Formats: sequence, structure tokens, C-alpha cells
Amino acid sequence: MFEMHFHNKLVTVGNELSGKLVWYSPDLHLPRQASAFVYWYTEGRGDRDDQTIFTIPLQPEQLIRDQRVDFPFAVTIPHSGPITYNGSLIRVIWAVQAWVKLPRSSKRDHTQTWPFLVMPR
Amino acid sequence: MSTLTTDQLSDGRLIVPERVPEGFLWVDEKGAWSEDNFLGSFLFALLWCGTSFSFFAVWLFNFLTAPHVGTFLMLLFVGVFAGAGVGMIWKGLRWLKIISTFHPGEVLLASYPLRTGETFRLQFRRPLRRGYIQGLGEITAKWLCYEWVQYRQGTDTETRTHMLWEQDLPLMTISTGTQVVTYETKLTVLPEGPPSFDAKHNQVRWEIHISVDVPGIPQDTTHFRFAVVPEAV
Amino acid sequence: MTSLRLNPKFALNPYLALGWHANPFALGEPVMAPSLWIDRGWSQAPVPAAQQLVQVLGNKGFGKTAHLRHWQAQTGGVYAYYPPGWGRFKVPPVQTIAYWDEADRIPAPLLLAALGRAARTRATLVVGTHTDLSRLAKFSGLAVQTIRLPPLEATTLRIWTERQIQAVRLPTVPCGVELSSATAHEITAIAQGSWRAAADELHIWAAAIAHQAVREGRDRRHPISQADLSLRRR
Repeated sequence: MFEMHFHNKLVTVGNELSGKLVWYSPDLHLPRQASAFVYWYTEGRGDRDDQTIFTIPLQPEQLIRDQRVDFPFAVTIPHSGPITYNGSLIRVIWAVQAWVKLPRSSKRDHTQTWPFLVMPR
Repeated sequence: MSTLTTDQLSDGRLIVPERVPEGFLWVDEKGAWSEDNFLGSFLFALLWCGTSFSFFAVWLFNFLTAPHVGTFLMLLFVGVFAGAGVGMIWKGLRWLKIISTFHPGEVLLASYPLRTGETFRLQFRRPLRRGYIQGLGEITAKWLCYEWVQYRQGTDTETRTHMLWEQDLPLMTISTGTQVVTYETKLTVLPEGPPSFDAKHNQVRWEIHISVDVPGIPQDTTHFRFAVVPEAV
Repeated sequence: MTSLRLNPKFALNPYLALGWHANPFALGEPVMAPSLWIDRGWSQAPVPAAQQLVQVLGNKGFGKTAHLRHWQAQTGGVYAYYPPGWGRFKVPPVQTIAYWDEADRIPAPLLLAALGRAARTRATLVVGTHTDLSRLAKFSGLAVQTIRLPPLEATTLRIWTERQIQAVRLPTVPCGVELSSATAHEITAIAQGSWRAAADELHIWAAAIAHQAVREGRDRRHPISQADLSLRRR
């Protein structure tokens, strides 16, 4: 469905994460809804927290069958972070997620996630 | 120690300090008089104690006039509620004694927010409302970093902490005649330590816990939480 | 805290160094999946429409809700949870089989009325409770079965740990991590019989061995025989 090309998979806080989300699908069923965003979420013993930092502009009608469509993006990671963190009870994970909802006949939602690293300055 | 007890936990709020000419000032709101808090707690305690003490008196009378197992068990049952009421009164009186003796604790830092690896000077002061300290007292303090999580499982909300790092700071004696309790220390944010993280259910906290123990006043611990930004010195 | 000087893949996810995709004790992992269920002697759901009350007694975290949910998955029927506070003032549902969690919080008049209704309609009630409700249930005309859940003990903890680890293992990657008997005893002692407190401890244990494996650049084809619990106390 999508491919992700990060320009930099490792980014320090206050700097820019950029890359390109590439759509390609020979599937007959084109998505009815689609979205992609840069976000962080937690994993571990605590209930999940998450926050979307940036939404990649993307409309379902732009997703055409058998044709590569590029969605370049650039987003500044906040100075305050959070940074990628692997603790004892908590993990903080940064990722880009793309999500498409396919027509009812195919009964499928499709989610792809690409993690990246956010480091302190 | 890998975890904090409920009493040792701060209320968890990351307060924005007041900007003052000397730097950044935190005032412990918990140690301040608040009419709203007092009235709410007072009315709740009044209702609780009024009800539980009345029931306890009735069942005590029943037991004394006609002692048998049933009335004794009932007395024990209402005794638990009355006991909680006594605990509430004890805690309330303790709190009143502390806030009527001291003004709220304050902490001053020259620069803020903190950065990983940064060494900084912290000044704590807690003035007495009137009079002076009689007898020798002491201040103890801890500088710590821990993970805090909250989750819902089964039918309960659980809170769990895990200590990442903890440092006992030098003890200081409070001498007789002191009118303002003060404590000054140099602290370092661990260079390899994590920055603060402040989400609803998951947090990484950097805190200083300062306990003031003077004769005739219940020991009181003030917690201050600081933000450590993801930036190395 | 994973350093970037190590393999960036492990900086993204240190559990990969153990051949796992995540911490086996993180919330949201499929703890309730049938394959992960631990039989403690009461896996079979109560019979519906039997004019009975099945009460599950046990301290916080001993698995009352887990048993109720496990049985409900087998029998269907309504599940009602009674929270502390005003939320407890709701009429307990009565069906062929109904599950009431934290039933000791139900106000007495509502409880008595619902028990009476269950007796009249020959329903089965399954309740998770901290206090014994058998006298009220018998008074209302229901037969009573009481299940007292025992505290978690080390052998069960080890079986549970192994299953949780299996659930997060990456396919085709060997995994030599096991919870030693000594560590299992230590954790059950800290957890005081509670499954969820044990899960907290095990999460920290798993994080510690993952970080240790990352630091040591351990080849995951070589098993880790003994995880160092003292790591948690740094």
C-alpha cells in the first residue's frame, strides 16, 4: 500500500523530521478514507497516552490505482519532546502511521506504522 | 527501594514556577491555607463523624445494656467507620497544626527548566507564621527520579512507580530561635538520566522531597517537581 | 534508557534483542486470549438458569474479574461492574446468566430485590465480591457456590510468564529467557499474591533483561539463564 522513505530516521528534538510517503497499489479496491500522521504513543504498564504532532495532507481521491503517488512531509519535533524512551514501566515510541479504510465490500482497514528515533539535544 | 509508598508520592502536578528577580519560585500550595479545601474537607468530616459516631454510640449503648454476639459484631462493624472518622480528625488536626505554624514551603532556582547533566543550586525556605523554633530540629531531603504509571485493570485503577535514581541529601540541623527554616544544596541532574515526561497515565518525574522535623510540630514533607528538558549541558 | 551507541534497531525496541516484539507484561497484550488462560481449577463456566449464586471471593488482583470475563466468553450473558461512588446505584441485571463484578458495592435494597428476582426466574448469578453474600442469596432462595481464589504462587507465575513470553516471541527466533524459581518466589512475595502486582514486577524484570541484552550485545541464540532481579533496584 504505502512505502515510507525517511530522510533521517534519527532526529533530535527541535529539528525536522522529513520524508516521503509513497502510495502504490494494484488493488481494485481504492480507499474510501485515508490519513497519515506523525505521533508518539506510550507502551508499558500504564494506560496508553498518545499525541499526534502532525497530519500529513492526504486525500483518498489522490490514491490512484497502479500509479505511484508521493506525499512528501516535513515536521519539526517539539523542543520539549518527548524523546524516544525505553524505561522499566514506560516506553515512548515515535512513529509515522498511515491508515486507509477500504470499501465495505473488501471489509478491510489497513494500518502501517514506521517508527523513528527522537533523541535529546 | 524500587517503589514509592502512597504517602511518599507527590500529587503529581508539574507547576509552572513564578518568575522572580532571583530566578524561579515554587510555592507549595498544599502547605497553604485554602478556605475552599478546608470547608469541603470539614463538611465531609463533619458528616462522616456525625453519622458514624452516632451509630457507634447507639450500638455501644445496646451492647452495654444487652451484651451478646450480634450487638458486639455490629459494634465492631460501625467501629470501623468511627475509627476512620477518628483518623480523619487526627489528620485534620495535624494539618491545622502544621499550617498554623509554618507558611508554605518555597523553593528557588536560578535557572529553569533543568537540563540533563546540569548542576544547580536549590534554596528552600519555610518561614514560621509567628515566634521561633524551640529546641533542635532537622531537615532531610531526597533528590529523585522515578517512573509513574496509572492503569485500569480488572475494576481498579492502579498506580505504580519505579525508582530510577535516588540521592539522600545532607541532613541539616535547625537551631533554636530559627524564624525561617532554610535549606540550601547543590544538585545535579544525572547526565544519563531521562528528561521529564508528563502524560496523563505515564510520567517520568524529577522531584525533591524536603522534610522539616521540629519539636512539637508533626513532621511535614514538601514535594517539588521539576521539568528536565531533553537537552544535555 | 537505551543508548544510541548500540544497535539503532534495539534503540527503537530493546525487546528485539531478546527475540520479542514487546514486553510480555505490557498492558494491552492479549492477556485474556484463550491460549494464555491459566487453569486454576475453575475454568469451566457455571451452568446458566440453575437458580444459583456463584460467588468468587478473593483479594484485589487475585483474578476475580479475569474469571468472570473468561466464563462470560463461554456462556454469554450480561456483565455489570459496580464502581465506587454513585455509580453503584444501578439496578443489577438479571438474565439466564448474569455477571456482577464488585457486587459487594451494590446497595442492599437493590441487591435483595435482584437476588429475589433471580430466584423467581431461576437465573444463575455469578458475582465477584470481597464480602460473602451467601446468607443474603440463601435467604432469597438461591443455591450458593463459593469459589475462594487463592493467592498467586511461584509455580503458576512461572507457567504464566512462559505463556506471556510465547505470545510476544518473534517467529523463527529462538528465545532462551526463563523466569528462575528464585526470582519467581521473590516476585510472588513482593506481589503478595496479586496477579497485577506480579505483572508490574515482571514488566520491570523483562525491561531489565532486555536492556541488559542490548548493553551486552548478547547474541540471542544464546539463552539467558538467569535474569538479575537486582537490576530493578539500581
